[in-house]
Amino acid sequence: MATQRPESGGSRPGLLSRFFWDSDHRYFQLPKTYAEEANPEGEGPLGTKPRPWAKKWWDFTGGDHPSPLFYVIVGSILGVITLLEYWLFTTNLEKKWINSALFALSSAKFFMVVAFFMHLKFDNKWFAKLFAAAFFLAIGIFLATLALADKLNG
Amino acid sequence: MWTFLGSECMFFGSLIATFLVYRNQSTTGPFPDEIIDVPITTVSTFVLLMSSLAMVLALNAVQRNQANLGRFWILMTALLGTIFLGFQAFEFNEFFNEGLTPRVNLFGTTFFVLTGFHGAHVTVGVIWLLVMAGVITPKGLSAWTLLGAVLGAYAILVGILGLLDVIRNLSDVGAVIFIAAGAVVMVAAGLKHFSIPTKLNVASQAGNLEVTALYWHFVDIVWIVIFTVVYLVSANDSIETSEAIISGLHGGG
Repeated sequence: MATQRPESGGSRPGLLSRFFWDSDHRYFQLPKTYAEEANPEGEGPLGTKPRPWAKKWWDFTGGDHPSPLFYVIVGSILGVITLLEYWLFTTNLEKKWINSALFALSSAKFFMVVAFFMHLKFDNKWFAKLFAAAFFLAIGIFLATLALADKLNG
Repeated sequence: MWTFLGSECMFFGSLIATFLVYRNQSTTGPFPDEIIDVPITTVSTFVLLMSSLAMVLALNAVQRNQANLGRFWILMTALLGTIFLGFQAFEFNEFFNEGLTPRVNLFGTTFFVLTGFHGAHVTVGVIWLLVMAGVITPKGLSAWTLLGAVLGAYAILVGILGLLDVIRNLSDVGAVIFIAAGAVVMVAAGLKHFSIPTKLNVASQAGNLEVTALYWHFVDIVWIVIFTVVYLVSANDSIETSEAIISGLHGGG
């Protein structure tokens, strides 16, 4: 249902109205993102202004629009890392090395999905900061819980 | 959506921390190393990762206003998500048969709460994807063929679960009939559905699909962490603990 802008009698709308309504009938005046455009610029994995050294890679990944091939390559790398994790699990190396390698590979997968599949690398920086803040807060809660449990267990 | 995903980070972070706090604290079996089947979970992890790939290809196609291709990849994402849920149902059933329930020990409690909540999120994601596939479907017959494809996929899932004995009162012959009938319905519906030319402006839905995709990828990255922490590391670490407890019991007896 379309949101109706309240009558303001020609004067400048108040703070509340500006927060909940605007001329685009959007509820919140969040920054506009490329996702709202049909053919946005700056959608490439290296952002809107690629460094000169990255031009070759930029062209390969489709410039403003990453090609499906680029996503298939990222997906294939994720699949290979998963198989590598399984191989590590079955090896007889020392556990601390296995666990360290597993966490490193898991982190690599995590950041590849966030950066390339979730488009965080080329989305509005507000969203990146918002997610990063919540993510690090979650890490803080995670570590605090473990530390508290460790202290309580002696 | 990013705010919601931030809150979800804290939600799953707390659940994973709880799992780690109670790791190796179970005094009775089954223990993780006795029960966790890492090869099967590796396959299901691979399936979920590929669903993320299908999701990003769907968004890519919709942004380019390619309606049929976009709808195909959305449905493929939903199908891969459903296969992942099938793996999870199979795993839960196996664990129950082995005697691991949420009440039997601390591992069971934390494991089922964590993976159960994740499975619930995947289920919501599959429903959301099907809704999005419907949104970018032309009005009329095509929607019915979409419904046929979903019912076909459901019949295949029931058949597979029957073959895996998750659904116990379905014979093997009945399960094969379910799979065959589901495949026929799905292929027929798919051929009809994607043969319809459409001039629908699906690029206008790219923003909405982007939100759906963010949710789906988030569910994927949560599983990346769960797979490492719960399956690979815990199964590896708990071997010595379970052996110590079992040898202690034998020594004491």
